[in-house]
Amino acid sequence: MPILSARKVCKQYGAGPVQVQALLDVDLDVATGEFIAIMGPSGCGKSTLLQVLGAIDTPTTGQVLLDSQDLGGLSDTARSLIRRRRIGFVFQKINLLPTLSAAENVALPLRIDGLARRAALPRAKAALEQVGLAHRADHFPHEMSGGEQQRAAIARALLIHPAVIFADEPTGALDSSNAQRIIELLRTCADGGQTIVMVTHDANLARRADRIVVMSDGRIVDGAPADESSATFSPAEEGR
Amino acid sequence: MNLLDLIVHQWLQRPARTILSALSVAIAVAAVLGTAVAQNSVRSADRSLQALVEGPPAVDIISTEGGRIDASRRPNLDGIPGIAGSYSVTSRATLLRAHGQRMKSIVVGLPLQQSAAWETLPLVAGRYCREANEATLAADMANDLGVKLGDSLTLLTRRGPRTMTVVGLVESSALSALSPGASGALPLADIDRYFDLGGSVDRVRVLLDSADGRPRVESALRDRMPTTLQVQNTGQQSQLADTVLRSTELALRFSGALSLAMATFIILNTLRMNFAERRREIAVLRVLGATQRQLVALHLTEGAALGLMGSILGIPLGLLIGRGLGQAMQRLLDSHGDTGEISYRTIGWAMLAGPLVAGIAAIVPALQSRHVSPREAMTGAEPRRAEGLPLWATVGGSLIMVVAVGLMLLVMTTRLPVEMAIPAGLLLLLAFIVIIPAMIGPVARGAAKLLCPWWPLESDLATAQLLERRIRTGLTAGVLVVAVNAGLGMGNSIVNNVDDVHDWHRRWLSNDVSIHDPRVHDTAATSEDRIDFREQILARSGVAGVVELQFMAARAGAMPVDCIVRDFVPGDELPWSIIAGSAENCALRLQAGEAVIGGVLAHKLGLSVGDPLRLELGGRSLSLPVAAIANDYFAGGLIVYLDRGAAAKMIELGPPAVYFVRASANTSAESLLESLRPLANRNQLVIRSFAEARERLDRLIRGIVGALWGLLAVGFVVGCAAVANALTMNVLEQTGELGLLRILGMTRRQVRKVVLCESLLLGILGIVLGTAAGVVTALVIHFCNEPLLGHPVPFKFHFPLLTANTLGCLLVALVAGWSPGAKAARLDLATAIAYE
Repeated sequence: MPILSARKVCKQYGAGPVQVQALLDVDLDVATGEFIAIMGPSGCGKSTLLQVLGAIDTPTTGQVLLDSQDLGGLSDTARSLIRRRRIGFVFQKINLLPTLSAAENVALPLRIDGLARRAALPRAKAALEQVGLAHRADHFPHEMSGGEQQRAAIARALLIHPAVIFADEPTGALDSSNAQRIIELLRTCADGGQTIVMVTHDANLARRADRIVVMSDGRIVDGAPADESSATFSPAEEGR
Repeated sequence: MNLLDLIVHQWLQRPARTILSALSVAIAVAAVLGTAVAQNSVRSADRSLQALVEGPPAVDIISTEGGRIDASRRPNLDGIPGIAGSYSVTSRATLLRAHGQRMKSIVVGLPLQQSAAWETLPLVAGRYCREANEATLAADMANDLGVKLGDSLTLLTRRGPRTMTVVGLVESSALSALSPGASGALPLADIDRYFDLGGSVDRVRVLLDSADGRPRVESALRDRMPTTLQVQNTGQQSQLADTVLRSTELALRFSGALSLAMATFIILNTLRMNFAERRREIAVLRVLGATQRQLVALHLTEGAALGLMGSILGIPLGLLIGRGLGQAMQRLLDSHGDTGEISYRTIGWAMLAGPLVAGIAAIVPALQSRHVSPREAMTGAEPRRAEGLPLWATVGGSLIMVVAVGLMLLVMTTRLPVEMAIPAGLLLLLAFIVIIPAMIGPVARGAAKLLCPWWPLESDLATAQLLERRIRTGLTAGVLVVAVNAGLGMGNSIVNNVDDVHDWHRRWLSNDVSIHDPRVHDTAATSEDRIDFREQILARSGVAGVVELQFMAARAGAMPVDCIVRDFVPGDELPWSIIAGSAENCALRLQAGEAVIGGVLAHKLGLSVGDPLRLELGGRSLSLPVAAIANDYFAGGLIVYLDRGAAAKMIELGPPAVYFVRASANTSAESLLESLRPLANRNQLVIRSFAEARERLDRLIRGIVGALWGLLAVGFVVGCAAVANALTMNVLEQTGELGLLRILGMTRRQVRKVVLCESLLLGILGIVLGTAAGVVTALVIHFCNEPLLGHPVPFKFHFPLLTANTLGCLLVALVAGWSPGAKAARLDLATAIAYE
């Protein structure tokens, strides 16, 4: 039984002559504890797919099921609750609020859910310890490196024990050694039973996933296990 | 590089931002106009109050020898600034006869060709005199005699009886202000002919543009006049014009300066926010070869252009606000007040104010742009930078504050003219606002604790955002601080001044009816034997008490003063409040032969309670101990009060000039008036009720207070716009972060609460810091009042004003936060997380 499914998902933007078909009849199943990487050239719809799967956006047609619950029919508030309690996110750029310390950033999902600061902060610090950032708990984002910021974002995602963690280009702004460290962290999470859906350009990093889903022009064109995949997209290739 | 093209291109790229920036200037320009309207309304109501108490501002030129002035000796007044007009006045005692009734009276002669002279007498019915043998009568005298328009009136003159036609009825109080006790006005040429005056006149009345200009006009007149002439304050004219109104005028000028300061803060904040958002683009321009000078010119040009656009938008907005305020004033004043007309000059100033203030405000981002490095364009998206606590501003602000406090102390100790209180006050406020960023931390955190029980996360996030943008927050809160400061500090001062006049007037008019002898001010009038008149009044039904008064000219030290000799009864309320001395035994000390003097006289002669007062009165030279110093506006505080019984033992007293009659508990003023009217008529005395005067005063005070609320409302409307502007910028800047919060599970409602929290915190900052500034301003104005007025106005802190300001700030916060909050809640998540 997949924890996350997409059924004939289509997503259109705009109308009339400026209509863009971002996703077209996408079908995808993600099993519990599976780590999948979505690859494809820029504009192929991978970030749109991640947003639709992650209840950030709604499909124009088709269904997205999280634990068999159709996300498309939910109200904005209900989708907010799903994101708050069942989904974790890691992005390339905007990951942490610059006005809060690392621990306060990690504690955000709990505090949004109504937990008092005093109760949320110890749990946030424990999550930071999990990603090796206990010593950075009181530091502000501008006092941390890019890799540390991403690790803090992963700690925030892990804190709520989500059904799925969505990571959109989590290593895009990092050097190779930091990128490797982040991927290892995500791999460790997946090995611990955490479901992870990651969008990346880097084929080498994608190979650390269980499966690589390749997209082109809004469709999934390949979904082979990582060790069998021939996907080779990289930032250098996308410009072609 | 064509800078104008670049500016227009940037505006078109971000139309919403451009409109918001121009609207900020528009709001500032509208505020300047709106404040001007509110000022006009307050000023108009104040002038009416002044006219009610003392008549229009004027001075008289009289002969030093006490005689009349020949037409040939009349000084040339051409070219003296501050003079609205002048006319000759002559008064004569006569006997009026109409419908078989006779009444002793004083008639005033005014030149037919001088419409300004006649217009000082408000018409109740009919018209002013246009030709010889026409007369206007005091409305209540006409009522007493049963005279109507068109009736004939006979005057007993030196050339025998002369018949005239009554063509107009005028307000009695205005005639009395022109000449005490006068009950009719005739053409000057008729008086001259009837009384064989040979072209000479009693005095020349010089009307002033405003009471403020009195000292300058007096000085200019003295320079031009021969020694046989002297300048004298008009009739019963008090120094209200020079003192209380001057104080209010100063407060209004201060509020005008504050509205400009608010405008500058709003525009400065907007341009700074524009700059912060555009920093990367500026870096790109630097890479492309733009010099620092070009960038400075770019910002200054943009500031001036936005200012011009704002002026064009703001003037209609200001006129709309002005019209609304004017109508509100009209309703408050029962259609008797000025509706807040705006002159073309004011509009011209407002038109200039936009580009000027925006140009000045643009200096800050212009200078900041010089420090943008081309390297910033080469790196990726810059992380947001927190605005640190500007140490230079805190130190500079503290130094300015020390200078401002020093200036204030010099004003308070009369070492500097009181007008210097305006720049000193502005400097003090500016210094306060400059150091606000240093005070924001503890206040914002304290305020967040108030919101924490309901909105813990939202208040934390809001506090963090406000503290990260300390300067923006400081400038935005600064606008609210200025609004609260104006509403609380100046409002408190205006209300205290008005209360003081009101209290004095209430004490003076504590009786219900006055009966007076119209000839008492005329030296030619004969004494009438009314020894038992007091008993006759007391014998009428509904009379609870009678106070007899007599007005006498005197000299205290070398100074001409008025002396009022009246009954003082221990236990009765005194006709003024006491500044120094004891109110309890004041009446007893007066009965023992001591004197009470006005605060201004005490100030000028340097007298305290117990000091001997050297008084020349009734041909005698007296030395009387000062029993108390009174807060009295009568004769501008240059006044001496004596008890009638005690004075009778020292000098020869004639019959009383005025009887104040108090009605008994179950008698109305109207029925008392009707009860006493036959007695007054039989003795040829004028009888009046105080009810109308009290009602008019109350209405005018309502008008002043109403206009004050209007002034306060303008401040808050501007504050609301400033907060909304800053919050919109915050939301724009936080787009990515708000998007992240939504992705992490925040509902739209929670996001709206975050913005509302920011708004409420700004409101609370405005309340706390504005109240502190307002209390200081109120105290500073209070202490400046003493050198200004010659006596202190009792200080009272008006909590309703504090409540109104607090509620105003909270309302502003709620209203201002609504739209940005809704905008934040509507953010498209996919777009928001991609926002840079």
